[in-house]
Amino acid sequence: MGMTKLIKSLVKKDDYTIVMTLSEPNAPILANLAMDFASIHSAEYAEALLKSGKPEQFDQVPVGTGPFSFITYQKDAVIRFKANKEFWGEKALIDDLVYAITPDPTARYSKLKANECQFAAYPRPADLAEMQKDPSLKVISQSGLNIAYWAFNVTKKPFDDKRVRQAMNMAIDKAAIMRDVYLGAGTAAINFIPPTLWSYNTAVKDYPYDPAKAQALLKEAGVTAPLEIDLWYMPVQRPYNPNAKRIAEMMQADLAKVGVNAKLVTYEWGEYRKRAQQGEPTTVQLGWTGDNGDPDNFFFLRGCAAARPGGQNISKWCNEEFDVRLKKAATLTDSKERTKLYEEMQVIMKEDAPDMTIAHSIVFEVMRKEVEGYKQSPLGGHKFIGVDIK
Amino acid sequence: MLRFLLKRLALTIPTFVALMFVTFVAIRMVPGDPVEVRTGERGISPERLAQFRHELGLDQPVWKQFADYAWGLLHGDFGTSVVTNERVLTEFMQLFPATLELAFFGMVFAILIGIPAGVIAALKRGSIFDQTLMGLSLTGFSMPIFWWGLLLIMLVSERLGWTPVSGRIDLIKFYFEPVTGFMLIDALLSDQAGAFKSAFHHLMLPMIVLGTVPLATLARMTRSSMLEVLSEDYVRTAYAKGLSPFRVIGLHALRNALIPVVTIIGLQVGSLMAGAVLTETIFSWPGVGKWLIESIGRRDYPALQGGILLISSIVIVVNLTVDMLYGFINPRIRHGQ
Repeated sequence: MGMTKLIKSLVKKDDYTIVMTLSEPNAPILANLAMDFASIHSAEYAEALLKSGKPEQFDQVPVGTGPFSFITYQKDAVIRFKANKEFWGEKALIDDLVYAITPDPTARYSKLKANECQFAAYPRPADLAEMQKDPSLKVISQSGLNIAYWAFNVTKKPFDDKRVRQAMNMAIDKAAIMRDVYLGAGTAAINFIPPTLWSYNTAVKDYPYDPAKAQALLKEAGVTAPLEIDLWYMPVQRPYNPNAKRIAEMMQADLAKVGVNAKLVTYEWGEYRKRAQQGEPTTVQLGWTGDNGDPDNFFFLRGCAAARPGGQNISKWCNEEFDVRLKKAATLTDSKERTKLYEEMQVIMKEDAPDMTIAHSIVFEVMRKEVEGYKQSPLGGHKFIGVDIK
Repeated sequence: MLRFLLKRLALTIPTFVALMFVTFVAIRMVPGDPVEVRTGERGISPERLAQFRHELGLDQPVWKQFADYAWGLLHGDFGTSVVTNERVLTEFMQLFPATLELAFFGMVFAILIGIPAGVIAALKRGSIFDQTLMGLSLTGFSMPIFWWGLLLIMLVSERLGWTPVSGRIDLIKFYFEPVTGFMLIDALLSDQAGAFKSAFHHLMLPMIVLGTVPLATLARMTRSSMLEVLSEDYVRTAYAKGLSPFRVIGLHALRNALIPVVTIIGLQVGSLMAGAVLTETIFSWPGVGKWLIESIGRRDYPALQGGILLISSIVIVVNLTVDMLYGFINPRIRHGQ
C-alpha cells in the first residue's frame, strides 16, 4: 500500500483526534485504514509489554474497546471472550464467546451436529448438500470477495497479441469448471471484481464458449497449430479456487480441441508465486481475496506499477488507458466519479483480456438453527455482535 | 549396572547429534521459507523480504545457521518460533502435557486390554477366542489411524452420542486456568462439578484410537511369548508340584513372558508419538503433534527443529529407561550373558 511514502505526517490533535497528512490525494486510504492492521492500539500497553520483555503478548493478550473482552487464549485449544458491558455501541447479546480451535472441517461439522458448538466456519463443499438437508442446521452463503483467474503473460509471444488472449477465453468451457470443480460453490466471473463490490459493471459480457471462433482468432493472429504453451496451476487450495490442478486439466483438454498443447506446471507455493511474479510462466492460474471492499484493492493488480518484474501483476499487462483511470480513481473522493472510471476499466480489461476471469467462490457458513442475527461479513471475518441463541 | 548405564548413555550422544543434523537439513530441503509462506498472494518488496530474512537469520550461510543452532542447543536454547515469537521450549511445555496425557492413557488402555487378551489367547490356543483375537489384532495393527478415528467419531459420537466429538473438555460449561496442563488433574483441582467426567469423556475416543495399534502389538506379542513360556520345563514342574493354575500362570509363566513385552512397550513410545500427530489432528487435541504439523505448513524452522528434537529426546530417554528396566528384570542382559 506504500503507506510509508503516502503518509507525510501523523499528529495527535487531542485525546480523540489524530490528523493524518498525505503526500498526495488518495481515496482508497479510507478503506485501507478500516483494515485490521490499522487498528489503533494502546501505546501504554505496548510500552508496558516491551518493558516487561513480553512483546509477543501484544497479539496474544490483546486489549481494546470492542463488544467482547478477551479473557484467555490457550494455545491451539481455545480463545475465550466475554461480552463487554462497558462497550460504547450496541451491546453483545451473548455472554460468552468461545472459539474452539478445530482445524479439521469434518470435526467442525461433527461438533456442530452434536451441538458441541453452534457455529462453524469454512465447511467442506462436499458436506454442504447434507448440511442443507439437516433440519437442526442453517447454511448461509454469499459471493466471496475474491477472484480466481488465469493470467496470460503479455510479454511472451504469442500472448502479446490480444486476439490470442481472446481466443483462450473462448476456448475454455467455464460452465463445466463451475459445475465439476466448484460444485455449486462458485459463480462464473465476468469481471475482475466480484459482483458484490461497488462499481461492478453489469453491462460487461463474458466471452462465449466458442472453440470454432477461438480457432479462427488464433489463425487470424498467425498462430500455427499446434501451439505449445505452459499452464501453471497452484499446488494449494485457495479460498477462490478449490482445485487448481483439476481446472488446469480441464483447460488442457479444452485447449487441445483448438490446437493448443498446454504443458501443466507447478511448484511449491512460495516458489510458484515468486516465479509467477518474476514473469516466468506463459499462462498462470492465481487469484486474489479482497482486503477492504475498495475496487482499487483489486484493480491495482493489473496496474502498470505492479507489472515490474517481481510485481503482483503477473500478466505483466500495462495498458495506458486502464492505468490512467486507475491512478485518477485513486485520487477522487466522489464515489460516482470513481464508479464511472472503474466501470470503464472493466470494459477495457474485458476487451484486452490480460486474463480469463474464472470464478468468484461462494463463501458458506453453517450454524445451529437456534443461532439468530448472524450477518456474513463481505470481508470474510466473523462478527458476533447482534448474534443471539434462542 | 553403572557401566551398563554409562554405555547406554554414551550411545545416545551420536543419536542426538544425528537427529539435530537431520531435522535441521530436512526442513530446509522443503522449498519455501517462513517469510514466503507468510506473504501469501500479497506482494512483498525485495527490501522488506531481505529485512525479514535478516531478522530471522535466514540470510546467513547454512553452516553458520547450523553452528548458531547447535551453540544455542548446547546452552539449552531451542530458539524462538518465527510465527508466534515465543520460546520454542515454552510452547512445547505448554502443549506437551496434552500429548503426554493422551499417550499415557493410550498406553494404559493398550496394556490393560492387550496383555490379558494375549494371555487368554495363549491359554486357549486354537479356540475361537484365540482366532478372533488374532484376527482383530491384525486388523487393529494394519488400520490407518485417520480412518479409524473418523469412523469412531461418526459412529460413537455422532450416531450414538456416547462421547464428545473433539477437544479436551466441554468448553462452554467449564472454564478454569490450566495448572498442570493435564486436563484430568486440572479438572479435579478446579472443584467444578462434572469437569472431571467431561474431561474423561473427551479423552476416551482419542485414547482408544491412539491405543489401538499398541494394543494389537501387545496382544500378539504377549500371546507368542506366553506360548513359548508355557512349553518350558519349569511350568510343567510347577504344575507337577500341584500349584494352582492361577499361581503357575500368574507367578511363573506371565512374569517371564512379560520380559520381551516390556521392550515392546518401550518401543511403542515412538509409535505413540507418531500416532499422536494424527490423533491430535483428528480430535483437535491441542498437543505437540498438531503443533508440529502446523509448524511444517508455516515453515517455522525453530519450532520444528526444537519440537522434533525434544520429542526424539523423550523417546530416547524412555527407551533407555526400558533398556535399564529390562536389565533389571532380566539380570542376564546387564551381565552381558
